[in-house]
Amino acid sequence: MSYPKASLSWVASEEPSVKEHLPSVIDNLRLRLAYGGSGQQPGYNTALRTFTPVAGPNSQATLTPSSFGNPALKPERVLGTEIGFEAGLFQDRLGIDFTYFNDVSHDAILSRGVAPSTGFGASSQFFNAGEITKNGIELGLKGHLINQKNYGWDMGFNVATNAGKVNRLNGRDTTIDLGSLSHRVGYAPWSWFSYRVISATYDPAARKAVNPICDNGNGGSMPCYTAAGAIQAPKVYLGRAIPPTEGSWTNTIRFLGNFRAYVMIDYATGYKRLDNNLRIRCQIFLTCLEYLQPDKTDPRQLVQMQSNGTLRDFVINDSKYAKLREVSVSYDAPERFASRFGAHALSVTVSGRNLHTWTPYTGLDPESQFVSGTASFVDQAEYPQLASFIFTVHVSY
Amino acid sequence: MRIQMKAGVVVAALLVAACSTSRLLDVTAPNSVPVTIFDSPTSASLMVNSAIGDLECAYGAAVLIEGIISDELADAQLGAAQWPYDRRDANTQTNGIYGTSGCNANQGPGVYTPLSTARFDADNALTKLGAWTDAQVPNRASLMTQMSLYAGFSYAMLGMSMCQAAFDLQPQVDQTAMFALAEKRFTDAITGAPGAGLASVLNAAYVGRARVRLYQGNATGAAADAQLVPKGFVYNAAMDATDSRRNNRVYAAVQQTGNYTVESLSLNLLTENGEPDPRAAVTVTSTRPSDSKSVISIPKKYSAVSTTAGDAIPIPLARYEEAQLILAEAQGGAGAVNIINTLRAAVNLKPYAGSTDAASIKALIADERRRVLFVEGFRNYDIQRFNLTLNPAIGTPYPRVGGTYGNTTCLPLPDVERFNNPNVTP
Repeated sequence: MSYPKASLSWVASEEPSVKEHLPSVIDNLRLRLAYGGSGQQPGYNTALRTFTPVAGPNSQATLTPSSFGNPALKPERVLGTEIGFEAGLFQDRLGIDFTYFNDVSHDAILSRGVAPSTGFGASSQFFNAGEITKNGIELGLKGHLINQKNYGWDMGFNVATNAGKVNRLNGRDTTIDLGSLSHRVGYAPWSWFSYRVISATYDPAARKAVNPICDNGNGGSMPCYTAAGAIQAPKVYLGRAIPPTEGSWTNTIRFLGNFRAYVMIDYATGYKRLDNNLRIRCQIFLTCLEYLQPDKTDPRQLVQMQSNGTLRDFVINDSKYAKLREVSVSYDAPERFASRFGAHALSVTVSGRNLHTWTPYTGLDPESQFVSGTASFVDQAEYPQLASFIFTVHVSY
Repeated sequence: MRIQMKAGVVVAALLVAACSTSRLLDVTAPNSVPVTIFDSPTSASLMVNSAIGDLECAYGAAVLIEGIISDELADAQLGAAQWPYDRRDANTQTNGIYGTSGCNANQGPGVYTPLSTARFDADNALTKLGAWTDAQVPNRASLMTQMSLYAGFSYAMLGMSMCQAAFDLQPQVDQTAMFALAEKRFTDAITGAPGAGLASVLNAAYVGRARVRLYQGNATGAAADAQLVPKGFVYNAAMDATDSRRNNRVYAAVQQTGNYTVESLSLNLLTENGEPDPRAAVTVTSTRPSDSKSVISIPKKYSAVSTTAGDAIPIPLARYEEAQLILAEAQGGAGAVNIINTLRAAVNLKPYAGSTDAASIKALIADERRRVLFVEGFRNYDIQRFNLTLNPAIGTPYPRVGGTYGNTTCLPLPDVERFNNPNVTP
C-alpha cells in the first residue's frame, strides 16, 4: 500500500507584502496545509481462519477451531486534510497553534463477535467498515503572562475535539452489535446503545419495581417487555465511549527568584463509561443497598437492578472529568550552592500526581479501562489511578 | 586473506538473497494452523479425531451444566457469573456464559459454543470426506460413519440444552428441528456402520436415534431402535488427565476443585419402595469447597481416589440402560414395568409393584430415569418434556446470593449468535 501525502507551509510574516498588512501585534505567522493518505495495516494473522492444536483422544494432538479470521480484510486507508496556523503575538508572549482536520477512513478496521454456529464462536473478527469520518480541531494556546526577573507566570491551554461518525458499514449492515456497544451508521464508532428505562412503578407489597417503560427510539415510550416477558423495546443511543473533547490547562509560576510552581489539570468530556463494578454488585451479586431499601430507591433504577441484567442503562454513566494531574514546587539552588558539591546545578522538587478528580461519574475512576477482548471502555476490577507524591533532587555535574 | 574475504562476501550475498524473499513474512504463528490443513485427504484422520475430541470436551461441559440447572448439582463457589445456572435464571441472561464460555472451565463452562463447535467439526468433516474418494482416504466410509454418529450426538445434546440454536449462520431452529437433524445423522451412521464393521458405532447410533425419535414423539420408531441395543452396551466419551480439556468435567468441577456439589434434593435418591438406589449413589468427599462452606458430594460413578483416575472416568454417550428406559417409555404399561424391574434386579432393588395406569407409569419412568441416568445430561430435558414441577419452586429465594429461582429448563439463543448471525430472525 502507498499513502501519498503533500504538505505546504508558508511563513506569511516573513513576506513583506503580507507583513505590512498584518496587525502590529502579530510577530510571526505560519500557515499550514496538508492533504494525503495514511493507513493502518491489519494485525498479524487477523485475516487467517485457523485452528489451534489441543490434546485429543488417546493422547494424540488434534486441532480445534480458533480464529474465524477474515480473508477479505484489507488495510485501513485514511484520506485526510489538515489546515492550520501558528502565530506569535505581543512580542511572542502569546502563541497560538490551531489545526482543523477532516479524515475519511475507508475500510476502517473494527471488530465484532463471531456467531458460534460457524464453529468458531470463541473468536472475534476484524472487518473493514465502509466509511468513517473524523473531524475536529486542535487548539493550543501558550502565554508568557508575566516575565520579570524574580517572578513570572506562563500558562498553556489546549483542547482537541474529535467528531467521529460511521457513514457506512460493509454490505447490508447498519449496525454491528457488540452487546452494550455498537458501531451504527450515523453515530460515532464505539457508541453505547442499550434499552433506556424511562419509568417504572414501585410495588410495596412485592418490594419490587414493576412495569418498566422504555424509550421507543422515536421520542416516545413503550413497555420494555411484552406480556410474555420478552424484551421488545429497541436499544437506543446512550452516548459515546470515546471522549470527543479532551485537553489540558497548565500553569508555571516563578517566584522568589529560584522557586517554580507547576499545576496541570487535564480533562475529557462528552463520553460515558460502563460501570461494570456496579452492574456486578447490583445485578449479579445482588448486594446493593437498594435491595434493602427498595422503597427509598428510584423505581427506574430499581427495576433495572431487578431485571437480571437485561436493563442496564443505569450503569452507563457520564464520565466527564477534570483531574488535578500534577502539582509541583521546585527550588533551583544558586550556582554557588551547587558548586559546594562540585556540581554546576542543583534543584529540589516536591510533586504530587492525581491529587483530585472532579467528575459526576459514580464509579471508581472515569478513566478505568478493563481491557479484555472486546470489553473495552468498561470500568471493572481496576484500581483507580492512585495519588502519588514524589520528592526529587537533581544534581548536574 | 583475499580468498576469505571473497567467501565472506558470497555468504553475505546469499543471506541477503535469502532474506529478500517475501516467504520470510509468511511465517505462521506456532499456535495457529490454517484451516486449509483439512483440505488435504491426508488430514482425514486428524480431522475426525479433532471432531471427536471437541465433542467429548463439549459433552462433559454440557452434562455438568445440565446437572447444575436441574436438581442434580448445586453451586458451591463464589463466581457470580455462574450463579444463573444454579438459580435457573440463565434463560433471562442471554449475554451469559452459557452462550460464550468454552468447554474446559471448571468454574463455569459454556454450552452453546462448545456444542456448536463440535457440531461444526463433525458436519465439516462429513462434507470434506464426502468430496474425497476411497482412493484418497482408504477408511473413508468408517470415518464418515463415525462423524455421522458424533454429529448426531452434537445435535441431540444441543436440542436437549437449547431452546433454539442456529447452524452455519442459518436462521435459528427449535428443539424438534434439532432432534430431526440428529436423527438424520444417526440414520446415516446406522446405514454406514455395518459395511464399515463398526458394531459399537451402530449400537450407539441406535441409542441416539431411539433417544431423538422418542423426543420427537415417535415412540414406535424409538422402540424399534432401542430393542436392538445389546445388554451391557456402553459407548463413552473418553476422558483423561493429560490436559484440562480432556478431564471428566463433572469430576474436575466437583471433587477436584469443589466448585459444585450434589444438590441436597439428590443426595439420597430412593425408589418408591424406600430403597436407596445404588445407581444414583453419592459419596461425600474431603474436597475443600470453593465457597469454604458447602459439603462437596459427588455421584459415586464419577468419584475417584486420585485426580489422575477421576479425570479419566468416561462419560457415557449411549448405553443399554438408556435404551431399555426408552423402550419402557415407548411401550408403557406392564411392559414398562417388566423392563424397569429387570434393570432393578440387576442391582438388587425391589421391583415396582404399583399401578400401571399411564400417569403412574409416566411418573415411574421419569423417576427411574432420574436415578439410572443420574448426572448423565438427561435430567434437565426430562424435567421439560415430562413437565415436572421445578424444585425448588419458581420464586423461592435463592439461598446463596439472593434473587429467586427462575424457570430455566432450556436456554434461549444467546446474544453472541443473535448479534452476529445475519439470518437469525427476531
